[in-house]
Amino acid sequence: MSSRKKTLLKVIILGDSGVGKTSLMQQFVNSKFSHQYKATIGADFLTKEITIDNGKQVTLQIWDTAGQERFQSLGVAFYRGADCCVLCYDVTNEKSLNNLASWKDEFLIQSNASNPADFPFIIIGNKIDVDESKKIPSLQKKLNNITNNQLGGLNYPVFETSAKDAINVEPAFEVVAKMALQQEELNDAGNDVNDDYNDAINIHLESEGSGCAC
Amino acid sequence: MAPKKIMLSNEVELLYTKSKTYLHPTTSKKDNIVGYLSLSRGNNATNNDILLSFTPENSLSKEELKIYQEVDIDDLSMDLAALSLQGKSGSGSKNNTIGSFRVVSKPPVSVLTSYSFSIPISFIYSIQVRKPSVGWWFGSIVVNSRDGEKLPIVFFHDDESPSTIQHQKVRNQRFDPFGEGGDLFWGGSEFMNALNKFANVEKSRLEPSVYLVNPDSLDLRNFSPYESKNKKGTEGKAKQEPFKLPDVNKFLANAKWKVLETVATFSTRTRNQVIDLVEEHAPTNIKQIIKKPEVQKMGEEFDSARVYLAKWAAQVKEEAEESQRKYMLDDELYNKINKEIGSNEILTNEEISTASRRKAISKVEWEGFFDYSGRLCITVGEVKSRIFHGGLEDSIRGEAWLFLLGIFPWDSSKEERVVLKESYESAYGELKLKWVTDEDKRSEEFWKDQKHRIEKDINRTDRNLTIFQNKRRLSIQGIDSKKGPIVREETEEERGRRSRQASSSSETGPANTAESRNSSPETPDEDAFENEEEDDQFDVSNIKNPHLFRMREILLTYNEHNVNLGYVQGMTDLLSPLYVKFQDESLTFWSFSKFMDRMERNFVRDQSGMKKQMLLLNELVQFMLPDLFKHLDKCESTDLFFFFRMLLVWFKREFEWDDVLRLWEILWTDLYSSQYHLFIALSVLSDNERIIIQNLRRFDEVLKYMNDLSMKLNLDHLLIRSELLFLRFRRMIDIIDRENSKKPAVDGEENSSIIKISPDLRGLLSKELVIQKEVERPEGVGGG
Repeated sequence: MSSRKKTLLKVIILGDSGVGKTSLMQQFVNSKFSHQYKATIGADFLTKEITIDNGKQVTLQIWDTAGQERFQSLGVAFYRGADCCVLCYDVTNEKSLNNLASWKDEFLIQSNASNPADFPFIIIGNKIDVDESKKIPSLQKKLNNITNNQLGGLNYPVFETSAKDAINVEPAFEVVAKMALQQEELNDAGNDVNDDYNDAINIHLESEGSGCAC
Repeated sequence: MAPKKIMLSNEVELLYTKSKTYLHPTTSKKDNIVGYLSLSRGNNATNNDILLSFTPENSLSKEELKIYQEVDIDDLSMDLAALSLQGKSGSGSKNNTIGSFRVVSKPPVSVLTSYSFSIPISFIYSIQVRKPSVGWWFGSIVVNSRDGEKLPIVFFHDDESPSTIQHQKVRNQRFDPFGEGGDLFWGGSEFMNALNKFANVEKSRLEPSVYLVNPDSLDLRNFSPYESKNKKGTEGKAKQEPFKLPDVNKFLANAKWKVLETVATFSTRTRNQVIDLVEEHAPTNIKQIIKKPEVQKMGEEFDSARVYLAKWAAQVKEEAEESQRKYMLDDELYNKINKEIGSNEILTNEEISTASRRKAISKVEWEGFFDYSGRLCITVGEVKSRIFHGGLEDSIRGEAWLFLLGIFPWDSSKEERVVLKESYESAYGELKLKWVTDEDKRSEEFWKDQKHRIEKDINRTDRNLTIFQNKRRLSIQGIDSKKGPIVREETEEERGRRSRQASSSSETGPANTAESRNSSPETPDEDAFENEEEDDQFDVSNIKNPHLFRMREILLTYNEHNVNLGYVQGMTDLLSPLYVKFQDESLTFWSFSKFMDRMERNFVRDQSGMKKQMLLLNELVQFMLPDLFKHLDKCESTDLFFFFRMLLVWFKREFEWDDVLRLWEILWTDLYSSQYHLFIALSVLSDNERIIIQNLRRFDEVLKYMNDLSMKLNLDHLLIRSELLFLRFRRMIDIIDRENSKKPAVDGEENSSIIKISPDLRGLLSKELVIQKEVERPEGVGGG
């Protein structure tokens, strides 16, 4: 694999308008939260260096995008070369959960990923700090339907977070970093090492377990 | 207050008098003529019609003499009140207390035998003010009329004038050596202060003793050929934070992004000087770091992180490359252009001085643009040029913007505007009523989606402004442009009135009927709002702030009014400044609607309007900044995506609140071009050209750098730069056209050496709005 010490990993955050994409990025990178984040127009990114388990240092370049669909047609420049994609929904907004699949499809079409079926995604359900009564009714069941659906389901690690109260944000992005690093190394290594990828998936599933324990 | 006597046409109201002013027709003291210098207003006269008169005492009747005396002293007590208010102009209170006792017969225009004279303010071109020298000579003023006539010199015998003596006494008692304006106090300066309340008086920069009265821009230019442009710059520089160097160890340990971010931060502060600064001021270790192989290696490493251009970006790039030869002029032509208008000097001094910034238009100056019936008495072009070069003071924006946005025609009278406003009110009422009363519509899925979008965005637009914060008792009035609205405790009466009117705005006109302002079913209880703690961000429909609520109503109505376009993200940014200025639901709605006419192309579903503008900007950059364009091409940044946000909401996110208002009113004038915002964008690039070329090498570097310019841009600098760029652009097109016309067609075919200017690029010279309407929403497509 790559012998370099530092690696730049490109991560894209997608999801409906208002689910908290900017807040998640800000909480992870700058450990801050504000009620006054404006609707994102265009695209921007922040970078953060983290050290993964094996002592490897990576730089995450996290791209925050606009949630309004029509602006995506201009934002796709940033999908390209992505190493991981974070699909976000709002645990109080059922529509944002149902739209996850179309965000994934949109990404795969626009990013031109070489191996779409294996591209690493992760799902983040944000705003778990809100009152239980406001949350999507029987969320877990609906979520399972979406992730376990055999036909094109979103079988990806799921994290439930609160960007506001800094709950589970860091663990989620640690998994993002691991997945992105594997993707990056896979791309570097070329097509002849596709076998390695099964391991990668196993690791994903493990991290899913720890992520959902919250 | 004394009942006002009805003024006859041969009578005037004395606004101001100064006693013991003299004409000195000969050098002999005994020939001196003593009289009153006065400002007076006839029936129905505007500020421009106010008379400046000299009236000899001996030409006044006993009764009138008494009135002149009283006004002389009365002004003093008024000014005393004003003085105690620390320099607040007392013009407001003065007008209120003008009673019948101030009415005198109109001063005669010019009577040679009595040495009186009288001239309307609009006829005065300038006043030369000569200060007194105690013990040597009296201070005096010389009035020059617009047709070049010099009126007799008026001398101020301050030692005899009761008002001046008393005034001086008070000033001496209060003398504060550290107070502002250590200027000598004398009758003439007091008179000029009084005049300043009714006319726009500007000191000439060429000759400090000359004051121009209501000058037009040409006068100002002649008298002030070069505005002290540097002044602001040096002031700003003085306040600049000391040049902070990053921690060297951290610097080394961090990735290249950090290096870049650091460079970007100090480079924006110091503009184009970053490289010089590093060269001159940075300790050697920093210089070494920049040259260190390790740092260079970091850069190379990141080059391997692939940066791809998107489908669309690729398409733009393709087209750009294709058109590159078309739009980018060859060096030969640049040389030719430069030779023709002098090397490096493509613009004349005249043009350069045109581009200087002037002070904002004050209320007094604005009112001087209109006659007694409220009709504009100068040309629309003049007003627009004035707004373009100075902007508006905040106090008149609410009025002036209605003209700029096309709500009121420039040639309307005050009366016509009252009628128009009423029809706007009722038209809005009808529009709104349509969705308010249509329960079926409101239960449609699409409607609910749009409503949710609007509410979500309303809840996160400009919430730093006091007016949009909760938990406060807001006053409907009282907006301070710099700090946003001022919070003032409401009186019981105001609160009562506001509650009764529920969602209607309080300050506007008679047509606030319940019907025209029908509220939607979720109208908040405003008393409850005052006690609310915080927004419930998970129940966005529950808007408690009445101002936010009215913005919601406006956008819901617009969503129905322009049904194809509906609501799209970014519109709240465009609406909020209008709302804050007007605070009237129907006027804000129509203004927004007019604004959206030109902005609609930014929001259409397929984004073609934005693509088109960014392609045009790409062309413009090639044409005007070819070196930078070549560099951006190397950085894979010719799609200019970093301008997306700036163009979409007209730099709303890039400037502080007050600067946004200034920029927009300038853009609304369409003085040079209806797409002048592209020249603002060009000026941002031009301003950062050197930094970009010397520091940035990649797509994401450029994007990050440009994004981070937000809130660090200097509007005044950019306005000057953009105007110069525009004038240069226009001149280049001119020269190319001339060059082309010299080349004859060969055998009926176009001469191949003809340089083609694309219609789009040439279109930048047009003041016609570019209108692109959204098409009908296809079946099954949502509003996203």
